[in-house]
Formats: sequence, C-alpha cells, structure tokens
Amino acid sequence: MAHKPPFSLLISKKALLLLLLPSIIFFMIFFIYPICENFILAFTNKSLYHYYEYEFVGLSNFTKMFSSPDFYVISGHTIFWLICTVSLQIIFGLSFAVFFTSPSLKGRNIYRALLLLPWAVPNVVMIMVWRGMFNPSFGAVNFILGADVPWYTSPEYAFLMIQIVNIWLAYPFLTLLLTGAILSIPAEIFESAKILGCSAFQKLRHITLPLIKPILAYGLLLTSATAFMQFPVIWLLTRGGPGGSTDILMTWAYKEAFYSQRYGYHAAIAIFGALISIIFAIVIIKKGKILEVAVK
Amino acid sequence: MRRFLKTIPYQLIAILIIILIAFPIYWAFITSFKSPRAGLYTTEFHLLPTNLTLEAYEVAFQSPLFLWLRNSLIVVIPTITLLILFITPISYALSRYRFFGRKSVMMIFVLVQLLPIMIAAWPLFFIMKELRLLNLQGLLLAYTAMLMPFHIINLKLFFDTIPIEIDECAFMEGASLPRILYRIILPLAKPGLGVALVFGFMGVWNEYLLARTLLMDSSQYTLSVAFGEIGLYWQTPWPVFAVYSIISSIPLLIVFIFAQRYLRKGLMRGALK
Repeated sequence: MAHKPPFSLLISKKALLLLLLPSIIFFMIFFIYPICENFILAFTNKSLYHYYEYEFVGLSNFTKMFSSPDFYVISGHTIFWLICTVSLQIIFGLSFAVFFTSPSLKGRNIYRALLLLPWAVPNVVMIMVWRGMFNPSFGAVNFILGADVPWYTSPEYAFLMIQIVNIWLAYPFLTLLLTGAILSIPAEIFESAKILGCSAFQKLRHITLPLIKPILAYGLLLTSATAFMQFPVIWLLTRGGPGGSTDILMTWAYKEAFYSQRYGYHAAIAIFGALISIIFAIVIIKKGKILEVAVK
Repeated sequence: MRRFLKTIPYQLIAILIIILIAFPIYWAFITSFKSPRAGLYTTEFHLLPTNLTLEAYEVAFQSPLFLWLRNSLIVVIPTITLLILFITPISYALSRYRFFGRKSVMMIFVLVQLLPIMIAAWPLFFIMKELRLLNLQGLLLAYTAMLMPFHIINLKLFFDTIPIEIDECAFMEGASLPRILYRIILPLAKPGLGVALVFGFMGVWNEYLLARTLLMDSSQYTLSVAFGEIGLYWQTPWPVFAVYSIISSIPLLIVFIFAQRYLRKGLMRGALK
C-alpha cells in the first residue's frame, strides 16, 4: 500500500513540523522526561531523609535489590502473574469472540453488547464490589459455593481471586478486538468451507485463526503490556498479601515509594519491572511480527 | 423445527455466560436497595431483593459523591479534547507523508505503550510539584500524555484506510492543508475518533495510580481514588457503596451508547488487509 510520492512530497518542511511538533513536544515533557528522570533517580539515594540533598550512589540501589531475598520471590510472582493473565485473556477473549459470532446463535448482537458489561462500571468500584463478594464470612461467592473458602488468608486462593477479578475486568478488550476481526472475514470463505464439508473445528483452525492472526498478535502485545497496568486489582484486593504472596514488582515498587519513601530504590525496582515487561513483549513481537502491522 | 432445536444449546450456553458475567453488577444493583442501617456490612445474601428501600440513596447523596463526580468530569472532558487536538495532526502526518524518521517515531509510540505507568508516576509527582500543578489540571496533562501513544497509532491506522486520492483531489482543487484535514478527512474519520472518545474516557475514568499519586487534597479526589480510599479506609456500608457504583457508571454508559456504533468499525480497522 505504498502511497504515490507526489502528494507526500508536496508538503513544506515548515508545515510538516507544525503537524508533528506540538504533540511530540508535549509527549516529551509529560511522558519521556519523567521516565528519564526515573532512570537518574535510580542511581541516587533520594528518600525522605535525603529529599533535597541526595547524591549519586552508583549501582547500590540495584545491588541492594538483587541481594534482597524478596526480589527473587517477587520476580517469580511477576512472571507467573504475566503468564497467567495473558493466557487467560487470550483463552477467554478468543473463545468468546468465536462463540458469539457463530451463525447458529440467534440474537448475537444483543449478547455481544452484554459482553461489554464489565466496562460499564468504573474499574475501582467493581474491584471493591468483588472485594465484598469474596468476603469469606458474608460474601456472595462463599454463599453460592456453600463453602468456607479463605479467599484472603490463603496465598493460593488469594491468587485465584485476583485472577478471577482481573479476567472479569480485562476480557472485553480482546473479545471486542477479535470479534471485529472475525466479522471482517468475508462470509463467502465460510460458505465454501461449508460446501466442502468442513467441521466447525476445522473452520476455526484453518480459516478463522490464520486470518485473525495479525490482530491476535497485536492484542497479545497490548494485553501483556497492560498486565502491569492492572496494578489496582492487586493493590485494592490484597495489597500484596497475605504475607507478600501476591506481590508483583509493581506493588513492591509502589510500597517503597509510598510507605518507605525510598524514591531511589523505588525507581530501581520500577525500572526492573519495566524491563521484564519489555522483554516479555519483545518475545511476542518477534514471534508475531507485530511491528510490521502497526508501523507499516 | 430441527434447526431451531439445534440452536437451543447455543442459547443456553450464551445465557449462562452472560449470567456469570453480569452477576457482580446485579449484586451491586440489588444491594443498593437494602437499608444501610442493617449493620455496617449487610450480612444476609439473597438472590432476589427483599425489603426494598431507597435509604442508601439518601445517604449516598449526602456524601461528597457529586463532588467526586464533578472532579472526574473536570479531568475527563479537557483530557479528551486535548487528546484529539494533539493526536489528529501527527496521525495525519504519519499516515500521509513519507519523511525522514517517520518509522522511528512510530516505533517509539508502539514501544512506549509497553512501559508500565508506574515508571513515570513518581518523577511526574516531583515535576508537577515544581510546576505547582499537584491538582486536577496537572493530572489531566499527565493523562493526555499517557493516552497519546495508543491513540496516535490507532488513528494513524484508521487514516490509512481513507484513500489518499481524496486528499489529492482536494489539494488539486486548491484546498489548504488545514482545510483538507479538518473539513474533509476528520469527518470521514469519525469511527476512529469514536474510539479515542470511548477509550480515552474509560482510561481516565478508571485510572487509579496517577490520580492517587498526584492528588493530595481529598476535595480533589476523582471517583477512582475516592472509591479506593473509601473501600480501604472508611467504614462505608455496602448498600451505600453499591449506590456509588451505579451513579458512577452513568456517564460511562452515556458515552458508550453515544459511541458504540463507531467502536467496532474504529478499532484496528487498518490492521486487516
């Protein structure tokens, strides 16, 4: 889809800069600059006691982080958390998108609108509602299960609870993205497959999946990137508890800044967390050839 | 008849899924009609509501609920406006013109989406403190910057689907660049802007971390921060909290109904070709 050069050459340099610069400058000030600032902060001892007269301490924040016993546990949690949330979102998003576009289902449009219900209420409010529903002694979940599940005191159940709430909040995005992708596949392809006698699974495997792969890959990238943005889910449900068993790098970094007021240490942890998320995403980018789609 | 019978399992599964998904919202809805005085935490749970009262609504309306709602709106409306003003020219340039560094600019906008916002939160606090912007105005500037990468790429992909011949025709007729952009291309890009509207609105309405970091004064809290604080520290009866959830979702619903028809068309249209 290369555009013909004439039109694209007709613009003056000044006009082009006028189109580009305002947003780029704004973005530099309020996004890139703070991130660079954090990189500098990570090498200082800025904290509550060294608020104005902080000094450069080299790599000591990082060595402190790597020598902390929490670090390995929390990094493990973080990677486990990333893998679980991303794969759950793919499973739910894909199966909902396929199921709610299947032609055998009457009233698909109504169901598809209802599927977006989790987006209708602000996230934080719904996290709090879930918090109430999971309350072990008077919550609705234990009432319906008829069991006494210790959602907040057992590490395994706490993790399960966070995953349930997170998937409930997050699945609509991929569902919407993939529904759009599936609906834009020409109906004739499915019809000819039907004439050839393909089963539903064969259609999914050999028609739907290959055709939506570029969008699925882009969705995968965005979900893995936003897995860390789901920080409020963990923070508001368990605060990393019980006993740090649901902490991820982001909640740890947050605690260092908010409670211990060690800004330099916080910056080091946050940078390391960002690094993990970027490595995770680069693997997906390489596998899914995503940049070609988006950057073209 | 047999075809009809064949669809029944599908209907049953679909209804079951929707019930499971809708349950928390239903729970919040029925809880809002319970009496807030029946103890701090209304203990019994019934699938069907009993003893409906509107007391919880009365209590909720006396709390600062509308102040928080107002704060959120003060943030969200300028954010969306600024966002659309900022992303339109750059997305247009990225879609229409080939210039040096174009690919790198786009690459950067894709890659920064991978950075967790936590990495910018604390430095933003220090910067906003220097600028004396530790308030809703500072927050909306930070939100605009935070939302830009995704929306620039998305709108650029949408512009890609509008044939460049339209621009060329207008150019031959003697239309100026602003005229082409604002009078011809933008009206065609409504679905793309619809996405910016809905996702921008949701992004701001739901954002917790930055708001919690940058807002110092409790009279400035947006809905997210306020509900987080109430849920964790204040002793609010559940029915009142359920009322909050219902009232705070009304603006979201309005935006959804308004922009819903653009959503499917606008999201990632350009990627499938």
